[in-house]
Amino acid sequence: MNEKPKTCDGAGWLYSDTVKDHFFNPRNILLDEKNYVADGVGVVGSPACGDMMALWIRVDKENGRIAECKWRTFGCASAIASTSMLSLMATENGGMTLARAKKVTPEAIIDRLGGLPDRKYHCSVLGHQALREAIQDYESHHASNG
Amino acid sequence: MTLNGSKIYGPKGVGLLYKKNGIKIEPLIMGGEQEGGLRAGTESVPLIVGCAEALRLAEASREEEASRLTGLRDYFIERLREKIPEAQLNGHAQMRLPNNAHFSFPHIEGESILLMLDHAGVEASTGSACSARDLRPSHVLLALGQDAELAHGSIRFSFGRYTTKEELDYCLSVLPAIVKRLNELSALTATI
Repeated sequence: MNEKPKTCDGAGWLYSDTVKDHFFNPRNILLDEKNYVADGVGVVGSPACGDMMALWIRVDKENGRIAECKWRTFGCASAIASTSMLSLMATENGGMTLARAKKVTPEAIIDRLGGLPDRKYHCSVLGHQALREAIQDYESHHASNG
Repeated sequence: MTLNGSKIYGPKGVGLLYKKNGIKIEPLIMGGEQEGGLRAGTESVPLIVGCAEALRLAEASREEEASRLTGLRDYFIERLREKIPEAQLNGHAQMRLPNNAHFSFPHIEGESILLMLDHAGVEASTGSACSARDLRPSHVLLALGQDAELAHGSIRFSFGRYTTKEELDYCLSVLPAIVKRLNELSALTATI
């Protein structure tokens, strides 16, 4: 109720403030995917495992950088926050080059999130794989990019 | 049969064992001859007295409290189903504990629901794998035949002696928006 503190977890918040921010205010969500024309799409994870994410990219053909990186995630707070952070990393500072985006590691995402609890490390950070898949999807339709 | 004192508002760290005379069991804690050799260690008299008193109080209010909680539970289950039609009640609608309402929410994950509820000031629990060390969701829900996908989105609402209808109304007022929001974010609702 209103007179209670806003959070009732006696043990404190398990996640960093950055994770909390990206969980409650995720960046680059794609709500209207039916009307979105993407250059590449990647899907990883499985509903049975409790984590699944879809990622859509648009590529700037002039400079070969990621212009837009949109996503949807089924999963826990760290799955949602890590996909959100990845979408930010892929598009900030004029966008990542495709070559660089293919090499994003889970560790880099976790670093930017200010860390994750150990048990979240392996299961919830899958976004980089979805990004790689989306780039491959794009490249398979634009063979000249090699 | 074992009873846990803290489940009935008694002190933590004490419970009781009920067994037939003549049944021989091995002690879990060795070293002393206390409690007929069944549990070594000096008995804590304050905890034992507290547990006995908690049991007395629980028994005195059992029927009245069970009926009050059953009313709250049925009210909560009915309203939740009205507000969130896709929610699936786990277990029998009537043949269940008076203080338990357990639901699975399709396409969304339990820990996320829990954290958003927590943020809104509502405490609940989840059978989602993400809240545990094991990656599989609740073995009970799986044994009931539920898909792993749905079991990942399960939430248990428990009621107690101090739960009021106003609190349930508050929970019901914040939950639909949380479920809607997580559905919007979910990859399982996306057309890919």
